[in-house]
Amino acid sequence: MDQGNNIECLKTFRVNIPLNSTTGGKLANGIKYYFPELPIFKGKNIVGIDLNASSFSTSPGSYIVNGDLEDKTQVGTLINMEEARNIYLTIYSEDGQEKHSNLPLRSLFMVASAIGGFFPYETYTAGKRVVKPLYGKINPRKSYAFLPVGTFAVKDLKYISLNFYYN
Amino acid sequence: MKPILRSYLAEVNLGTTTPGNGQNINIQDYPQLREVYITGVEVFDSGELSISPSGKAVVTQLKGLTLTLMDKFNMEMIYQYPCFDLNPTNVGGFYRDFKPFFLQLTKSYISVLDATTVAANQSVMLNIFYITAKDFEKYKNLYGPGK
Repeated sequence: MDQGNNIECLKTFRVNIPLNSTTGGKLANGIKYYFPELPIFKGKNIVGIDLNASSFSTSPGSYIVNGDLEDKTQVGTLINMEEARNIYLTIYSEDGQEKHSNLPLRSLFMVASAIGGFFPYETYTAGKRVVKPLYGKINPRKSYAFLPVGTFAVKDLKYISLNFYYN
Repeated sequence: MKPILRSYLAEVNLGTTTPGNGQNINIQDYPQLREVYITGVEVFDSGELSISPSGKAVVTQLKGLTLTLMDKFNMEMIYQYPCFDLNPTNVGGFYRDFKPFFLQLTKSYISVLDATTVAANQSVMLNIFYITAKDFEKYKNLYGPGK
């Protein structure tokens, strides 16, 4: 890790946010996907959030962007580093105000952003992990992930993994 | 890095024609960003965002752009700061945090210093970290005294 920071906190909690409808509908554009009920954060002060994402590579592949987590235990697949470029989070405070509006999901996991490169593979590693020091009490039930209308190649059952640091 | 109490993703669209060298593009009014103290900012290009929330293409590079932020006294508190250096990807994952000042967003602007690096209808994405003026007294100790 060539750079990074440390968040002083009492506890951490990783949350999976499914990006599908209650009827099993797959990921689609222009739709808000609300966070699940997370009573564990009630009255707790969040001090940081980071994204856990899987690696992305083209096939046959000219570049690879390394993530930090692979998980086959859930329904659907974990968002990868490339897909994260298409998703925004809006997070509400505990008193119901919009706290973080359209927070880019990808900004919660910074790595070299260059997209491209030619064979042999260019690899972008997860070398610049910085926990975003988002601060305050949140209302997860009002918060949501949003995919703008536009191109998004993967229409599938997907989920986001966020790691919350809190006291 | 200081704590981020609130953030708002502002979109600065370059317009329907490619801007010229030296052109300034004012940031539009966002009601959420009136009466606020700015505490930090980050800027993104298409490496981090494939499309803006409003469906616009995002600039592919930031090297020809700078950001100027004005305070309520029309002082240029941040003057022509290279946007490239405001992208956390390019500075070890960190964002630039400021000693909080009362932001006047509608007089703040992006300067295009090299128009060959951008195209018409692309957007520059600014994620602005702030505290509302009414909350400033409550939270100012997190940031040190404002002006």
